[in-house]
Amino acid sequence: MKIEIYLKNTSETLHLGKALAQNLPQQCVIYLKGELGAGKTTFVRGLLTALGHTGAVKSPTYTLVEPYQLTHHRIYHFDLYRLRDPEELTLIGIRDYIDDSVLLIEWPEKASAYLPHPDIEFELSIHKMGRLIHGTAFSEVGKILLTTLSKKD
Amino acid sequence: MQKVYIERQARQLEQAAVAAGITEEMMIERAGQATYETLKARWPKTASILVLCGKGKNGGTGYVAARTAQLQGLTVHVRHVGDTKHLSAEVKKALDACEKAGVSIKPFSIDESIEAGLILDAIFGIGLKGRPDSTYIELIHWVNQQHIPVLSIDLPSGVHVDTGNVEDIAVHADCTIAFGGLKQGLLTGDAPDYCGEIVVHDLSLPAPVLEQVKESAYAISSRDFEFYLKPRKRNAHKGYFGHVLVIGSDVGFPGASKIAAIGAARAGAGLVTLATHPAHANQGVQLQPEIMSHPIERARDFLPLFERATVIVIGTGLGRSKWSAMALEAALNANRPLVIDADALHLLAKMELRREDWILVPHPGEAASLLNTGSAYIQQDRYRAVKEIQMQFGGLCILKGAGTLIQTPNTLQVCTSGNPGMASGGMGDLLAGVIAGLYAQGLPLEIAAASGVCLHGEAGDCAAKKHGERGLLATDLIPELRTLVNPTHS
Repeated sequence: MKIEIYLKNTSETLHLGKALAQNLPQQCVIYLKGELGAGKTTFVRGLLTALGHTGAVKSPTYTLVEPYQLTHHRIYHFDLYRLRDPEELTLIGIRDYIDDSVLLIEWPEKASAYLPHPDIEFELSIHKMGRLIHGTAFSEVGKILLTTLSKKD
Repeated sequence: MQKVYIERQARQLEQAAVAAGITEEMMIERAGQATYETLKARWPKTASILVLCGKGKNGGTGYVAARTAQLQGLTVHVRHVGDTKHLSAEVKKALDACEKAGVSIKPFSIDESIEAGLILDAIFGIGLKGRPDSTYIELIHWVNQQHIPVLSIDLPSGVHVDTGNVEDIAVHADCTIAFGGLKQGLLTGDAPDYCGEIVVHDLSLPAPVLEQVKESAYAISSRDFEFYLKPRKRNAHKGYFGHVLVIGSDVGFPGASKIAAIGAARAGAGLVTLATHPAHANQGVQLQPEIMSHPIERARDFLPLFERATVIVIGTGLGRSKWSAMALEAALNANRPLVIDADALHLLAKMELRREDWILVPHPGEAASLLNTGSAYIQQDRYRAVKEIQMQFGGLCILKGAGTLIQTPNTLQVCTSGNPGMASGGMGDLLAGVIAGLYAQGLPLEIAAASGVCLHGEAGDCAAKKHGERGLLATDLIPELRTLVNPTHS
């Protein structure tokens, strides 16, 4: 299943992140693709804020992963932009993060073979003055989530 | 112009060399020899050295340099960090040859006291992944406490090869020798505090090998732009050199936009007009009689000025009042290229606009505001930040700071001139003016941006060389700038 939504400004990107938060299961894997400035972190910020996170959303360049323990979810936000060797993911034990957690993974293409399979992949791109987001579901969980998003639009 | 690489490209370069018949062993040997030569040239009186070798190729280069130094009659101590069981074949070979030459090689111990006149840092090269662990942190701390010269191979251990960020600790080198070309991480972020003088050695890689790998950026200096600053035609008149309109000076901020206006004029703009809040009208004339000054009460007061302008500088001393917002709104609709700085960037951060004909000139704080984040995030990876701003806002972005970055839609350039004396009020205003002044006289937008940054930085370095960094003011750069924009006279 695939969806395509045009987001005309930042607040719509944040809003879509929030919408995703509403039906987010305890465990799932979400890939976020797109160039720098495409709005991936904005989308993550919308999602985390809706789940009750109040501080800033950091971009974990060195640590590769930033954990967030929220009221109903444990979230791991990966940012693999500066990942140089996918082996680094084995070093930090990425497989241990999967149980009962939501994995948000930016730049998954930097380490595809080393990552768990996604339930959904989002791809953002700059389009006119806004952003275009493509969502693809790869599992039942993913399909349900995408369906709720497309209804909101 | 010098090519700059990221780690991935440096690895590709090594692979291309191997494919062309230059083995890793040969490269380590060349690098080690060159390290010794650099050491000898820079510190000719040094009689004893301590070489700290890590487990990777960087360590291998260290072993070769140690062996060469020993054969040349220096007293050499080698201490390795981490075990020597799992070395690659080439590094093992370098170690064995070093041992055979009679060099004492032992594991490093923090309790041992070693008499040496210089430390050769071959701990981590470009291969450091993640953060150094506690053993290494202790070692690097020890190196920094020795108060003897340090020469780092490839990059000071602890500096991130792609970003220049230092997370916990890094070696404070006096000199860094970069093999196979400059790396991004040597040039910006925390790195300028750690690298010391940078020496580049190409490992004698042949041109066909170098051509196979694309660079990530170029390191630039004003010399690269001399073509655009040739002597003027004898029959030129002021109409040839454009008209810069500087908009700024809200109530209470009279100075900043005046400095921008002078920068534009001294960079060679034909005419410069300063548009200010009515409270500061005629300030331009008071400072510099050649600069025209216009009071602006409402948006329509701008119209005749826009008509005549080639380019607009907005933001310096603009403030964040209603008047400021009105002025920015008007400038955005003027249909002229814009150089946007300071307060205008903060105002812009709240608007969602993209355009191709503007140059955004943020310092890290303003960049953070544009990306809705903190300046620590910006500084941690300046290359990423400047690209992100350019992608989001379009046009060109200049991220100021040690190692100023100039990102255009297709290219990334790094300017390493400039000094900490330039961390004083007015420097940014001057830069914005210089860039507009260069564009006004006919340089393409991208060239005006890149050459403006270099001229500004080098003018700062010339001024600091004469009277020191502390107390350096933006207006002190003006005579130097004038010499530099006329390269055939300097």
